[in-house]
Amino acid sequence: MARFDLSFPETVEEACQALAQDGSDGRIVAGGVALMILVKHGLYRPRRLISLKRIRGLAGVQETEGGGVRLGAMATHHEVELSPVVHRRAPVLAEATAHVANLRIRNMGTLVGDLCHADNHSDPAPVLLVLDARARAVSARGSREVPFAQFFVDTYQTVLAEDELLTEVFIPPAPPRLAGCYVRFSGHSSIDWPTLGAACMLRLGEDARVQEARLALGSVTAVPQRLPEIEAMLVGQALTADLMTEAGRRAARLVDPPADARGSTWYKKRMVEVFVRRALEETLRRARANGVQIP
Amino acid sequence: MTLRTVGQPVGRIDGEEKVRGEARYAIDLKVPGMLHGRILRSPYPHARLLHVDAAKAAQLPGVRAVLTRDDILRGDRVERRYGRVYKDQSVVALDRVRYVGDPVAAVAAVDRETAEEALQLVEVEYEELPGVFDPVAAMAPDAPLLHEALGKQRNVCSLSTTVRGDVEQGWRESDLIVEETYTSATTQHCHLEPHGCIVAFDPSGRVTVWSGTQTPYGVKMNLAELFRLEPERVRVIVPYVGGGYGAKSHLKIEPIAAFLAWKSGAPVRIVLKRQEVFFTITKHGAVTRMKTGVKRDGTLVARQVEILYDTGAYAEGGPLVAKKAATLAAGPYKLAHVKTESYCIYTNKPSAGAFRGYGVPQVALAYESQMDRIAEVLGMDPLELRLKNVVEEGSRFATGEALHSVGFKPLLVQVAQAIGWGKAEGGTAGEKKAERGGAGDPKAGGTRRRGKGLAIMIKSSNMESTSRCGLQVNDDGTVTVLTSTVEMGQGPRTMLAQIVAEELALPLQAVRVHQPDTDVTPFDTMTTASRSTFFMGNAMVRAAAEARRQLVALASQLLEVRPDDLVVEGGRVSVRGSPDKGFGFGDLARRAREQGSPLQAEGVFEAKEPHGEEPVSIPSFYLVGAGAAEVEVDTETGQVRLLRYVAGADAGKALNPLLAGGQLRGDATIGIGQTFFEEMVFEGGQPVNATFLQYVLPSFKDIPELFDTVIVETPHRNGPYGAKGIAESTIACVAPAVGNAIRRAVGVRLRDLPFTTERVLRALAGLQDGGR
Ligand SMILES: Cc1cc2nc3c(=O)[nH]c(=O)nc-3n(C[C@H](O)[C@H](O)[C@H](O)COP(=O)(O)OP(=O)(O)OC[C@H]3O[C@@H](n4cnc5c(N)ncnc54)[C@H](O)[C@@H]3O)c2cc1C
Repeated sequence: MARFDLSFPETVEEACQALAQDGSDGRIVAGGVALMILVKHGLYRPRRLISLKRIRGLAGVQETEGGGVRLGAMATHHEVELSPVVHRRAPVLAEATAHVANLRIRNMGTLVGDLCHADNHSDPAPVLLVLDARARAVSARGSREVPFAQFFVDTYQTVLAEDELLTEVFIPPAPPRLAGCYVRFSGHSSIDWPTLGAACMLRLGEDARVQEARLALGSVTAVPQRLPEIEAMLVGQALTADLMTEAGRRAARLVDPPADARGSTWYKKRMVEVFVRRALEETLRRARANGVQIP
Repeated sequence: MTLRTVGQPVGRIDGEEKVRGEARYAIDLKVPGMLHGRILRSPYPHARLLHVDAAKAAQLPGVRAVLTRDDILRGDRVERRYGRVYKDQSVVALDRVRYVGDPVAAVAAVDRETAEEALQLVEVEYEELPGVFDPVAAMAPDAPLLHEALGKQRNVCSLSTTVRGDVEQGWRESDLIVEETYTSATTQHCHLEPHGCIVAFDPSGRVTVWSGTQTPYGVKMNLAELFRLEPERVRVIVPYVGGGYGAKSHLKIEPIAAFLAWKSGAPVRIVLKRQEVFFTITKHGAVTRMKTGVKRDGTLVARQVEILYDTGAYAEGGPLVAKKAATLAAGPYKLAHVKTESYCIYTNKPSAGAFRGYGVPQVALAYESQMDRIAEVLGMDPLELRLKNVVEEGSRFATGEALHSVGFKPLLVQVAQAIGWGKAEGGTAGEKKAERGGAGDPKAGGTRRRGKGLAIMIKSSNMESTSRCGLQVNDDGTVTVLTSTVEMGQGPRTMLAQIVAEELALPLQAVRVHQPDTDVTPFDTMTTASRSTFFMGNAMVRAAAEARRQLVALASQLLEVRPDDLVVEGGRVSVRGSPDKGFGFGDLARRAREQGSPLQAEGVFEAKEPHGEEPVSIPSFYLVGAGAAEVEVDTETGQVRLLRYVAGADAGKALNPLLAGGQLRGDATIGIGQTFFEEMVFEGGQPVNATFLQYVLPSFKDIPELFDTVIVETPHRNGPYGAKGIAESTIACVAPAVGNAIRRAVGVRLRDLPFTTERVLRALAGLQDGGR
């Protein structure tokens, strides 16, 4: 393994300064799970790594005023998975992080590192899309907020500039009576990255009609995607078995997944069809379990 | 005789050392002044070597030696070609490269980084040649040839046949003939510890090799031959080995390390990267065509098998795998007419060789799937069909040999019972619905269906081999065992210590097992083929009996008591009835040494291969295995959940039920990976998933929660305490048991491994598998 510098700034400002100075030579390392694999396989040769470990302000998960959630850049998958705040305010995110790899990876890897690495097979990414979450990007030049809907540019590529640091993820307060789920399918070993992940959130009225629908897919396209066409077709409708089946069919027509080790395009489209429907079914089941009266 | 230690589920004697991380493996070893070797490998699957120049690499500071074909062609240090079966391999490529990863040059430098850097400086010019990547295409008349100079036509590396009776007559006698083709993917052993070794030449011309090998004596002999040395000049020391499964037998990386060590005059260490492990050896992919004739009542009459083993670029151990499989390919059934033709076919891929199961998984998939097919057509219960035809004591095997210690019937019955054979399955029964909920329930989507499947297999161990061992009683009353059996996790140190403890009535802790070291530990053919319990176990029983005889004789002389009146107990030899009158082992050891004849004993065990029906005094043994699976298939995704698995074997006698159970589970676990996920994928000869980032192995979550083992014991008349090997009994059963269960669950028959979710779904959709 090649030699490199490793620095431990203690504040976000110091980290930003280091990034600004090092230019393309510098790179953030959080848990190091994704990065060190690239280094070990000679796919990335680091020169200066800037660790976020000693920056106090980046740790942990907090509830914000009004019932939103703030996830620090150093919050690990496992912290998110176990956080009472996440369980209360964004349980679907806890559900998704619990699926990530295995406990060793979840203990070392951060949620934000997963998102910045931008592998399109991320489990939490589609969930953040349906939660309408936003990222805070900070640099020596200033600070900005980016909705996750605009965050992913391509596989392994985000909107973050070279000198930018993602300090936190903000999940806005959820409207009342929003039910949701994350369903994931791995055709390989069950601890492998997913073949497909589908996140769904629905608000159902007293009349059992869909008032609001949010659906997103991970893994099957270059970046995780919301499915606005499907969301639109659901709103105002009663969630019948036929409707859910039709939603799955249409979703499969909207995506064009690349063939790879996890399956052919044909197969992945079939899985989209099945799992969009199953995500809707599961969300409906949960909404019912939570007392929504559905005839 | 009642046994005290043998037969007990004692924990492994090296368990604590391993759990604490104190056990040392080949990759942990360091030798003063050692250099680090790295290998330059071909980026092309097939190419002529036009030009190889390592002058610049040699000049890089820190580089101490480079190895190219010039060293082999111009010098006379090594033989140009070597190989266990055919001499078709060279230390580095001479005129051609034949697979992506074929060694072209090597460098020894002061550290790995420098060696790596030097590799970039080696100038190589290739002229690409057309390649062949699957065994069927490789046999076409106009296919490019890999070894035409060896006279290998149509890329046929070897052909082995077994004939019994006359299959043509068999077809005439049959009421039903079934013919199918099954394929298995090329996979890799995926032992946790990569290949690693250190080789040092000392000025006197002796070579010391520290290697994580399964075959210390094999490496010694083969390396001596390759380097034109007297075998006595080569010493091989084997520390703990982190898994082998056949991948670490005979020469692998030792020749390159040895050459670099000789050239640099310093010890050279080579430890492969994971990708290089995938290049070093694989399990044969195979195409198996099987035709079976059967009578209306289910009596098997004739079976013909043709197997094409994809053996990759060099023969390696491939022809031996194919040869053994030729004798086993018809399965453990009474068949009057058998004809098998087992080919090894060269292709431009990494060489395939020994892998746990040794060619049997590829044929068991075919014969056990076909048994269910036959049962289905005849309307018979698959268990009944097997019980009707399976071999038993004295049955003549395809080889003509009369079989012994083959408890298939009790094993089948018990394994079937453990899976609940005959009870509801198929996701339709009310019982299941109540059990798990959802299955077959239309409201839950009704997409899950359940089924159960059975499979059995037979495999022979080494038919002709020898084990020797030594045993010495120390002054402190403990015993040191000298054996070249390699501990690679399968537990032979514990097993051998148990035997010695049993025979000498000692506590297990009083027995120490020395690591294999060919200067110290006696000859043993190798640690392969599940042979150590039978062969080395027998040798150890003999050595221990001899030590006991010596202890008793000396005590008898000192006490002036007849040997019959002495008892051996608790590390002492004493007069029966008066435990105070006697000597401790330590005392006896000291006195024996003073008398000039130290307490040392030897044990030897040798088996001969039977030829046809001709009996031999001590034949080897057969592994007898069975498996049963219960699966749940999601008909919308093709996902198959393994709900329950039962792995069973006839152990003859389980010397340590705990370790035996571990072997059955471990064996089946590898089978689970190969059934569902594992496949080395090549595109135009380029490996695309040869790292652990892409190659999928089973995790604990893929192992069924209900994972039972069944051990039956049909004592082997030549086994130690009746025991024989079991470590390859269950791997071959997993895929057919699962395939049969899938068939019973959803009505589709899968014939190509691995059974990916997509293949299952395509079969369900009735589509051709052409979409990849
Ligand atoms: C075997 C294995 C299986 C896996 N399976 C799954 C799975 O099933 N599902 C899933 O979702 N994920 C999976 N992962 C991915 C895993 O979740 C991520 O690798 C991990 O979370 C990355 O976090 P990290 O803190 O280690 O990031 P690092 O490795 O430290 O960083 C990753 C990348 O993000 C950048 N980065 C990190 N933090 C910041 C920041 N605050 N600002 C800007 N850039 C930053 C780094 O520069 C680097 O480029 C798997 C990984 C492995 C190794």
